[in-house]
Amino acid sequence: MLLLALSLRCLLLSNEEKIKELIKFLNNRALNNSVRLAILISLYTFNQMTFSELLEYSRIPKSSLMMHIQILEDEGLVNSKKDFTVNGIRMFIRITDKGKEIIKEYFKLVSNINY
Amino acid sequence: MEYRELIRDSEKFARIIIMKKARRTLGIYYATWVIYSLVLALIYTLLSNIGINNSLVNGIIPFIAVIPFIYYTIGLFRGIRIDYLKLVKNKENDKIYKRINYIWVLLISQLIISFAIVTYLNIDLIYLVLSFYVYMLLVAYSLYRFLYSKYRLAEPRYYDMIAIIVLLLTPLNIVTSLFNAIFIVFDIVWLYASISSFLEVSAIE
Repeated sequence: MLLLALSLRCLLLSNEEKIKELIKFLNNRALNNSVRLAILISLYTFNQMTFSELLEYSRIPKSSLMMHIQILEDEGLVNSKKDFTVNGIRMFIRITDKGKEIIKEYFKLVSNINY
Repeated sequence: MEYRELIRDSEKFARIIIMKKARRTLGIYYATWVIYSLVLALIYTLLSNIGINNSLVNGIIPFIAVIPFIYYTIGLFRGIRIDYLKLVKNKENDKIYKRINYIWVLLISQLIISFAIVTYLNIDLIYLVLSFYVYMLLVAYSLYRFLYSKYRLAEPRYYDMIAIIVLLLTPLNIVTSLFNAIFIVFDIVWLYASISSFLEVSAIE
């Protein structure tokens, strides 16, 4: 009985530690916002998207999206590049290697906790 | 913002973006292969007008014309990662995934019926049809995985299933001119699936 209580306490403590670790991980300019985190996850899934696509799919104001992309770019998680497409010049937002590593780490931390 | 709220909100938002992007990718995919079918029809019409009726030329054209389309299709789906879907879907009770077995029964029944028709009509061509079937099954399977697997990127719709079924019927075209209409049906169904996919992108909330 005592052993069971102890292991339960250990489990709870370790879960608490994991949550603390996750909170610490999310506590930065790029990841403390759900829109930026979602954009980063989407970019991780598809590797790159155009600004127009993100604007259309997210339905957030252009200026807000521009700000979110700028913050992610400042943190080195994405980079943007203008390129020619059949629809004209488009701005491509691509996730960087650092961005990919951050998202992988995020997935690892989130998969360990219940939310 | 509380961390749970942050995770849930970002998950919800990322899912919408991923679903829309995946659906648009599918729309482009359907449209690409409709264009291929139309390009083939155009080439054959031109050749027939010029008066070229060489079986070797006629046989080789689809294989040459298909190269840029395959290249484009690979580019469409290359590099898509499903790590996020694995994370999210493992925490869910997936009803569509559980229906997979019934859909496979339907596809295999269709395959058997198609072969029965082929055998009845012309037994000499069975191996040619078989090779086409293997190819079509691979294409249908990849489409099916994209839409019906546990870690699917887009939610399946009725027009996706019709598109897969029509795709599996197209090898019958080799057997007899009676089935030439299959290509017209293929074009209509895939064009419909393409337009519906594009319309769905703007409808997802």
